[in-house]
Amino acid sequence: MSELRRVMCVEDDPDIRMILEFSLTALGAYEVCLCSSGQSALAQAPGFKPDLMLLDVMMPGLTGPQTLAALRTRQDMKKVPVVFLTAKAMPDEIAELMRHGAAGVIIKPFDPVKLPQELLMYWERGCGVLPD
Amino acid sequence: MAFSLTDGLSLATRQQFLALQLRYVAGLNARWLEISNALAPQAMQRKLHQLAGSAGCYGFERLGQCAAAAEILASSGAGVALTEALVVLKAEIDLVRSKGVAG
Repeated sequence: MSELRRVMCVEDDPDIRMILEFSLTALGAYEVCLCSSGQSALAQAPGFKPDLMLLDVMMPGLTGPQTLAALRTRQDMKKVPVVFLTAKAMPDEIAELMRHGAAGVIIKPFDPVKLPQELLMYWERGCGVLPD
Repeated sequence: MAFSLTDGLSLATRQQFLALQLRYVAGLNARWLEISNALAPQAMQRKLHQLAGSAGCYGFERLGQCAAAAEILASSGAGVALTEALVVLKAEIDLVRSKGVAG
């Protein structure tokens, strides 16, 4: 397994993007690419080559699950672990997101101090379970 | 949610977070106007959803809870109860704005 360095964050709320950037760069020391939509993420992912993607679920245009489905059709994005970001915390809703092939689900509001470690945990899990 | 930002983090990092909190608080009035002026229930629900999701990330968990409660009522079309929840939300916004990040 290599190392978690580059994280792509896809979130339509600018205030959440800002706190994600603070958390993952200032605290997590990751290289971060911020996208405001699923479409933007699909366009930027091949160039950025993320080690992990953090995807908001409820976005205008492509939703998080739709973005994940589109990513998985691309050869170079098939194995990138994806973690969903959602305010829906019911167990059945989380289970449904996991069925889409996510490595994990982060519930909003999240603690920006703990987020980098949580993502590292999900990245390690995601790298271990994704099929070849 | 109790953030541990004051524990073991550098002064520069704490100041960076403080600046983000101040910026967030400064934008709360605009958020409230978007919520209260929303013409369609879905638009109001979406704005409430965003506030519910973001406030706690900045350390304002009570504000996030008020927004989440209003979001549920907005989604179910509960008229009087929603109006009451919005009054509570506005009061919480005013409280956060008056206290600033010291609260």
